[in-house]
Formats: sequence, structure tokens, C-alpha cells
Amino acid sequence: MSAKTFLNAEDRKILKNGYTREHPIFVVGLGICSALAVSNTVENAIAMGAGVTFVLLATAVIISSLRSLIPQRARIITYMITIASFVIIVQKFLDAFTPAISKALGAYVALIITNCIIMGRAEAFYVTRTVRHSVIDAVGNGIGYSFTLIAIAAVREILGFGTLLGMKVTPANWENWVVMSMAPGAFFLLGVAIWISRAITERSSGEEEGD
Amino acid sequence: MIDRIKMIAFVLVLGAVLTTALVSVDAFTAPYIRANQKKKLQESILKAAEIEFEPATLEQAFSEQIKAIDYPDALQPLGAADDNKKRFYLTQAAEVIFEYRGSGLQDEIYGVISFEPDLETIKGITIVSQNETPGLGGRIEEAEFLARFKQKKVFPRFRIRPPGKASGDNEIDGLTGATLSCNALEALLNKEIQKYIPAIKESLR
Repeated sequence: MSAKTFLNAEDRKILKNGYTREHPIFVVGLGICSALAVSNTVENAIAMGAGVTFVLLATAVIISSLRSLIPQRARIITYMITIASFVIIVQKFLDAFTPAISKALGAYVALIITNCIIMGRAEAFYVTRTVRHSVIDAVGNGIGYSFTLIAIAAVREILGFGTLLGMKVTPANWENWVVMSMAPGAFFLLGVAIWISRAITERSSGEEEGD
Repeated sequence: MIDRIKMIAFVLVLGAVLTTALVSVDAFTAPYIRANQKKKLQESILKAAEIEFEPATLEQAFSEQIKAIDYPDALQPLGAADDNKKRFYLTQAAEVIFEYRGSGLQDEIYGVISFEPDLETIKGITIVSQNETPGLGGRIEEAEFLARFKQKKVFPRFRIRPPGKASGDNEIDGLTGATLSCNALEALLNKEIQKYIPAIKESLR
């Protein structure tokens, strides 16, 4: 109930849209590249999810608070330099405090800059909405992206490496599914996940039509 | 006109603010990043010398087992400060360890190599960073491949041959699918060996 005291009905709808009707990966189809590449272990997925969510939040605050100042023709440039700056900040912090994760994520941290979720949300939402709504939207999309990554990574890590967060969880005679630790495994899983989520949303979409 | 000036002013101000933020983050994280790199180097040196250590006592193990020696002045970068000089490393058993770097097929390959006291036989080698094609050239950092370097001679020249072709005690088998990266590694290792081994001999004399 506590959520209701802080968020009114519209806020909650925006938050929920981020991980349901406007789910960045399953519904809008954005950010798939990084979702395939860094979902091989749960640790990487958590770091990537946190990084993207942080950049989303920072972009939401900056773009929505400057929305009346941003010149129409310099919109995209504004998004670019804002996003790029915060990605570099994330990269520096990973290098400084979690070098192992930074090495495992490799080029993908820098590639958050080109993660279309952030650019897409900035253009579709933050540049026209209030700071409050934008931040809520960023949290919703961050949850949608992170949880998908972590869920796929959990399956891939258990099947591909026999571990979960680095701890052995499978029986001793477990044979690793090598395909799961490589890119094709991610394609199979993401395909199945999108299939399931589409089937569910289609079943429930009848009652949500028209809002 | 006014619109244009506003637009340029906006972009300039935003750019300046974000640049300031980046510079301060860089200043804040730089010491930590340097410390991480130093740790990584010490770890690689101990690994190349095949010295066992606990990650928790890395610093201590390194200072107890390894001695750093400056290269002769001819190899130092111009005007290098005392704590910035290029060094090689000596274990208690007089094995010599030094850093090598050079261009691989895609990007710089950087690592550490250790030699037996005769300065002709490889004891161990590690790769600290490389960006070769994952799954092909990238396999040069696999432990199984790096183990092939052990006890190989590097004079007159160290060679990485096509898989199955290695015969002499200065030759190792390459990796299928990583021919170009192996060639690059062979070339850069020989170049670095020719450059540093004579200098090390001179320093140790």
C-alpha cells in the first residue's frame, strides 16, 4: 500500500508500462543487442542492468528538466552528449571499483551509448514530460530491462556453466550446455521469452484496449 | 538569428557543464584505476614466474619475492621521473621477468614473460590484455596454449609453427583459426626479446 501514498494512479501506470505494455525488449524491441551479449552470467547482467538504469535515470532528469530550453533542432545532439557523458562516468566507476566486471563486460559498457532504449525514451517521453513522470518512466524501463537480462542470464548461467552467481548449483555429473554460454543460446532463449510474453499480453490485451 | 545564437549557446553551456562533470569523475577515479592496473601487473608477474600467492596477500608476496630493477638509461623514455622508470623484475631464484607489448592482428597485445636465469629459456608467459577476434585469435590467451611456451628457447629466434609442425626446442604449435594472431604474437615477442634481453644482461652484469 505504501506505493500508493507516493505514486498516484498515473504515476503507477507509467511505472507499470515500463515493464509490461511498453517493455523495452519484449514489446518495443530495443536494446536486444546488449541483452544477447551480456546475459551469459548473472553477475554481468546485474552490472549491465544497473548501468543502463543509472544512465536512463540521469538522462531522464537532465532531458526532462531542460525540456523547455532544448532547441528543437539540437535535440538529438543534446541526448547524445548527455547519454555519452553518463556512460563514461559508469565506465570509470566500473574500472575503478569492479575491474573484474569491467573486463567481463568489455566494450558493452561503452555501447550503452548506442542502447536505443535510452535514446528512444528520451525522444518519446522525457523531452515532453515532467521530471517526476520521466523519472518514474526511467525506473519502470530500468526494471523491465534489468529483470529480463537477469532472468535470461540465470537460465544461461545454470545451463551453460552449471553455476548461479559463481556458485555451483548443478549435480556433480552435470554436462554444461556450451551453446547456452554462447550467443546462439541467447537467441533461442530470448525468442522463447518474447513468444511467451506476447502470448500473455495478447490474451490480456482485450481488457486494456482503448486506454 | 536569435534562435541560432540560443541554440549554440545552449549546446556550448551543456557541453561545458558535462565536460566539467567528466573531468571531476576522472580525477576522482584515476588513483583507483591506477591501483587496479598495478595490482593486475603484480598478479601477472607472479603468475609468469609461477609463484603461488593468495589474492589477499598479493602486495606482500610481491614485495617479498620480486625485485624491480631499472632498465639502462638508453631504454628509458626521455625525462622519466624516478618512480616512472621502465623496469624489469627479478625473482629470488634469479629468474627474469619483463613486460612485452606490441601490435597483434586487431589491437595491442600486452603481457608479461619470465625467463630462466640463463636468459634463453622461457619459464612462463601471461597475456594481460588483448583484443583479438573472440573464439579465433582471442584463443591465444587460453592457459593450454600459453603452457606450450614453457622451457622453449628464444635464440636465435622463437617460432610459432602451424599446428603439428613444431619440432625444434625453439618452436611451438600454433592454433588452428588463429594463424594471423599467432604470427603477430611471434613477431612482437621476438622484437621485444631482441630489445630487452641484451639490455637486461647489461644491467645485471
